[in-house]
Amino acid sequence: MSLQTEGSALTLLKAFLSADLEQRDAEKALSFLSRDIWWYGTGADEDVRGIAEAGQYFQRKMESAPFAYQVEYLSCVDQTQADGTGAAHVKCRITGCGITLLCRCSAFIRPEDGKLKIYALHMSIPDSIQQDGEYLPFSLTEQYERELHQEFLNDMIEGGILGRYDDPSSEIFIVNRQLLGFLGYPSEEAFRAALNNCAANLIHPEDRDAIARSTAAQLARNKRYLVEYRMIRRDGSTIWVESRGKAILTKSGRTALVGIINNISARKNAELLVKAQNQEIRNLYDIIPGGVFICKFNPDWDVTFANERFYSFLGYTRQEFTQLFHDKMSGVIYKDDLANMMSTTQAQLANSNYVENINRLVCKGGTVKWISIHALLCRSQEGAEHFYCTFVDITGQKEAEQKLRENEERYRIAIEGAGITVWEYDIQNHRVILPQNSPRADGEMLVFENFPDSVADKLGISPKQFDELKGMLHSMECGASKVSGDFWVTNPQTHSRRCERVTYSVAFDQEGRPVTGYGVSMDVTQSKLAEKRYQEELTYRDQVVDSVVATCCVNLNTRKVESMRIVGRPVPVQIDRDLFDYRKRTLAFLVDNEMSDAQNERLSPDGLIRSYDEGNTAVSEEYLARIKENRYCWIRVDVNLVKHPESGDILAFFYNRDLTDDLIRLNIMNTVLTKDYEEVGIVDFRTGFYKRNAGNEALSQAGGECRYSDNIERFCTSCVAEQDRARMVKLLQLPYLKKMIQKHRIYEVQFLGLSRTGQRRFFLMRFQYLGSSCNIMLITRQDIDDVVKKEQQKQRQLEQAVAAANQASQIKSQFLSRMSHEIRTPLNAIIGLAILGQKNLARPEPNLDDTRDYVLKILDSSHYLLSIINDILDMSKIESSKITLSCQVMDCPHVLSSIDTIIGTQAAAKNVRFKIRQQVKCPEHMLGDVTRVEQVLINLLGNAVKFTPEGGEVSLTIDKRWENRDQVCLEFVVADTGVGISEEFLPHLFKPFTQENAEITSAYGGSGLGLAIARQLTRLMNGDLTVKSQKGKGSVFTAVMCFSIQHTSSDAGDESPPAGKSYSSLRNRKILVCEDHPLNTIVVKRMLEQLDCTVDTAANGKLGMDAFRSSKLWEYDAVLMDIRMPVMDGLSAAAAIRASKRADAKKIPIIAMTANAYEEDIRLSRNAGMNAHLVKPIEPDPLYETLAELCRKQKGQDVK
Amino acid sequence: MNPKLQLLEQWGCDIKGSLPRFLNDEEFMLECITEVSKDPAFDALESHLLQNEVRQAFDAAHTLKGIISNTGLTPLYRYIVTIVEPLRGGSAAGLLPRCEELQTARQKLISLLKR
Repeated sequence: MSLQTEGSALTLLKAFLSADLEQRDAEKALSFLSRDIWWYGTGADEDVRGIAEAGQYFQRKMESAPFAYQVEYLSCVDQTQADGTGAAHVKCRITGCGITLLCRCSAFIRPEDGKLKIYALHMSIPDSIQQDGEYLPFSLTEQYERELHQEFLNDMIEGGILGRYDDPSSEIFIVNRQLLGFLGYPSEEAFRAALNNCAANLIHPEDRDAIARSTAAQLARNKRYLVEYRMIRRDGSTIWVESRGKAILTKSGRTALVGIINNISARKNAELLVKAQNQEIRNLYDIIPGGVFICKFNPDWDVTFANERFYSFLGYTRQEFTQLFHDKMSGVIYKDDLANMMSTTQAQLANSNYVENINRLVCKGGTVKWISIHALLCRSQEGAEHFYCTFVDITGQKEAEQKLRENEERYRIAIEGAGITVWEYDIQNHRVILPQNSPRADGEMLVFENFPDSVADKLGISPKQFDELKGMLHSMECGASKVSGDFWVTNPQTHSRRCERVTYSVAFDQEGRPVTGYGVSMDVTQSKLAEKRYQEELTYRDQVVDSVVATCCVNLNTRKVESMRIVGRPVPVQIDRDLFDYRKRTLAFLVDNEMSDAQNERLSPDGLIRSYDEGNTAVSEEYLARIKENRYCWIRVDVNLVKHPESGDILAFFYNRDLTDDLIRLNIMNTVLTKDYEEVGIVDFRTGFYKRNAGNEALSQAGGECRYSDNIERFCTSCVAEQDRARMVKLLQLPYLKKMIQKHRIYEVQFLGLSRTGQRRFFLMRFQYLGSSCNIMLITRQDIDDVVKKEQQKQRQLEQAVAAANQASQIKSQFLSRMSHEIRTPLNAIIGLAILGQKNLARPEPNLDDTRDYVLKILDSSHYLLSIINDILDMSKIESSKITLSCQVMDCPHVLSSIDTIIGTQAAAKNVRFKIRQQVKCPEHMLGDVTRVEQVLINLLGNAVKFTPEGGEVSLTIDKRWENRDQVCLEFVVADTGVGISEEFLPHLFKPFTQENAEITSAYGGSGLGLAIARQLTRLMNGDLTVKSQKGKGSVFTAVMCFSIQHTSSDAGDESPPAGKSYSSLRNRKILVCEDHPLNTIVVKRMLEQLDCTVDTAANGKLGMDAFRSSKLWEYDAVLMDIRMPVMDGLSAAAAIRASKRADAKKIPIIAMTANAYEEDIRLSRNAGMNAHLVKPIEPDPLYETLAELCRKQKGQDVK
Repeated sequence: MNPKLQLLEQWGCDIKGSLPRFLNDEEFMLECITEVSKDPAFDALESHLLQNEVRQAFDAAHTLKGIISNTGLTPLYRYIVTIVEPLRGGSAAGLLPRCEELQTARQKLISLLKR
């Protein structure tokens, strides 16, 4: 079929019919109608006037027949005008609900409010005999109508028709063939018969009541009904049918319900299947432990489906959920979670359609529950997006997790608070597992294999304790169920030590083998230390140290005195246990205590407990006290507060110390340190810190303690002179100092420093270990400027001395060089002459005169050589002050005679005149060193002859300068007419080893010592040697020498007979002569025998002593005693005689005889008890005189 | 004067000065001088010097000095003095030649006494 071209009117009509019949959309259909619509419907009551009636008509129509129809246009006419108005006409077939109708329809169009609207409508069906109130057409005559009706029902209406009277009989009113066919009845009669003409019997018994109620209800509302139920077929089976009908009033006046029956078994079965499946799904949903729901992907998460669990989870019924929240999930999502849900979901959707989330829901009554939700996003063909969601209740899990976290936190806090560490020890595999919540695991589980060997270094325990630990682990392997031990460990970072009490509880497997040791360690350092400290206190208290005068222990909790010890008292001291007042208690060892009340209160139990509570475990007080009646002292009491390890009571240990000596010592030490040292301090190598202990701040700043290395630069800048600064900065570095004191034990550095006033002075820094510790270095800084300057002065003097010595050495070297020449000269002569002599003697006829001449010359050279050597030796003696002068009776004429012989010979040999002029007579008994006097004069005269040319003159003039009773001073003047001495050389004339010039040395020889010796000798004789000279004219040497005068008896004016010369007083005397040498003995003996003396001799001191002791009392009148004798010397023998208890021992004259005439010898013989001293050789007169005098004195004493 | 004493006087001995010590008894003096010439101290001195026995050498020298000066033997005295003093100071260095000179003088003395 082809349609004409459709204009606006036709389009509008078709749109209207579609909305009315096909879409069954009343509102839309009304939109096509004018406000003034004029509509003739197909029924008598279907005329409509105005849009309002149109609306009512549609409402009724839709309610009575809400089913959709299909419209098939058979012909169409469009009469639309150019202005849009017009008409349209259609003939169409309407199909639906088992009927097919032919319908004509005309519509008239006009614009209204800018739109085309239908303002007149006429609809008709072909059968013009349609009755009023009937929607469906019937035949005009009853029979015809019935037949027609029947035929119509049978042919025209698809599906069955069943009518019944609406009364309790439910009598069958009508049935068509199609229905009979459905049900398997061959005829209506069979049908009626089988059902007993009751339509209700067709309905499945289970459905009858429901159908009846439903039908009645629908009829009551709009006289139509639509019900579905199971209809029983002839064979007993059932089919599902849909009955759509209405109530009609039959001609009999009875109301019949006539409906079109459609077999909907297929659909219904499908629906039932779906329903069953749905139910199964629902059942499945409902048995899912969580909720299942479908919701839209919008901000409110509109729920389109939910299972029972969903509602039961929330606590709401479906209805309540709908009413309260309009099926919006957002109504029950926890507010804080809802805010993030959309963003979280979108973030997950970026990767897939699958979303999962954990959030909270607010359930009925305000209960908040946690859910874990999983959702899949699905899109329909229309583009709608829905989430298919399931969720499970994880509130319990969440609460468990929370509880677990809380428990873990409590566990952690408990472990931390308790200071314990827990771990597991895999006994078989020697593996330790430290859980992550362990305080020492740093948040990660730690595993230690091969325990404990693998961590031996990290544990920081001693080798001994490490063995104990291994032993404990071994015990577990051997089956011990519980082991425990205390271990001291060292922290490698802090080097601090702590004690861990380790306990293992062992778990065994079913076969009884140890599997796991659950280890717990607890820091028991404090309790260990407390216990140790308590024991130490007890030990210390019992071992009272030097300065402690008394100790005491008081239990502060019980306020009882536990014990008391006083130095020097029995232990322990009996004391009132309630005497907890400190001051009263000290009266047990003090006479008086002058401490203040405040101090005493601080030492009371209350005061001490207060200190302990404030964290102080040591309290000290100092006070003045009288320890004895007459002695005051300074007492310091140290109180150590210790908790008893068992009872927990606080014990106070009192140590009363006498600080008096310590304070004095401290003051002395401070005085020494501050006066002698600029600074004293120590450096701890372990910490690098310096602490000043005394002196000024230099290495340290204010406060006295600092990091040493930080202050080296500052110290050097302020205390070291600039020239030494760089050096000191290097020297003061700690590693260098440590190396130095390890090497030298004491390392000293001297430097030029700056005093506090900025003066440059020398300082000494000394570094050494303090005591036996190698960790502490003692540093002292001392101002040594004065010492250094003195040393420098000494050094300069020493250098000058060395220079002088070097000069002297040089002079001596020159001298020795010269002397070697001088010595070689005569030696060469001696050797040469000896060779000549030897050759001469080797001749067949030696010339004896030549030989004699050689010998004499050799002798001369030897003498010359000897004189040189003697000079050297004399000078050596003089310089070392070892020369001493002998004391002999000097026969002056004899001395001059000897000189005259010697010098005269020399002068004559040189043709020089020599004269001796003696101006005065010398005393006869002058005592002096003849040899030295001769030496001086021969030297002067020898020089004079040597330096006086032939024909010249040399003279010796003797004069007396002065004389008294004991001494005489003689002047010996040696004058010559020789070469003289230059004025320049005169000052050096008497210096050793000097001669005027080399020519003189070469021409005249000599050592250059003669004049130096001569001068020293004259000075030894209390005189001097001076010179006057004129170059080329000669010299005058004046030697002054003093001599003692020996007094004789006659000199003293004694009453004894004059020396003489008879010595009768000595006659018949008995003398003991002690002399070892026979010659001396004989001579002396002969001298004495000359005077008729009796002489006994003894060859040594001991024999002499024995002779004296064995003699009769006063048998000997005198003893002559030699000094140097074998066996016993004269000094000892004389002393022994004097020591004898004999009456004559103290009085017998003992006279020393010795060649030594030095003062020292005389003094020694006097000290030995001898009365006089005779110088050998013994002369008769001095011997006689001495003996006579002493005998006379001894006699005089006896007379007295 | 005894011819031997005269010889000694000529040799340099102080016979005149020493004779009073011997009570002017020339024979006695000559006996003593003869004894001196035989004194064992001479040989002892030389021996001790060779052995560098200073103390013993000094004792011998000291004895010799005493008897030589007693008998006025000046030629010997000059030598013995130069020996005694160094030995008193504890030194024997270089004394052996002097001792030999002393011995030479002693031999001279002996030869004179034998004349």
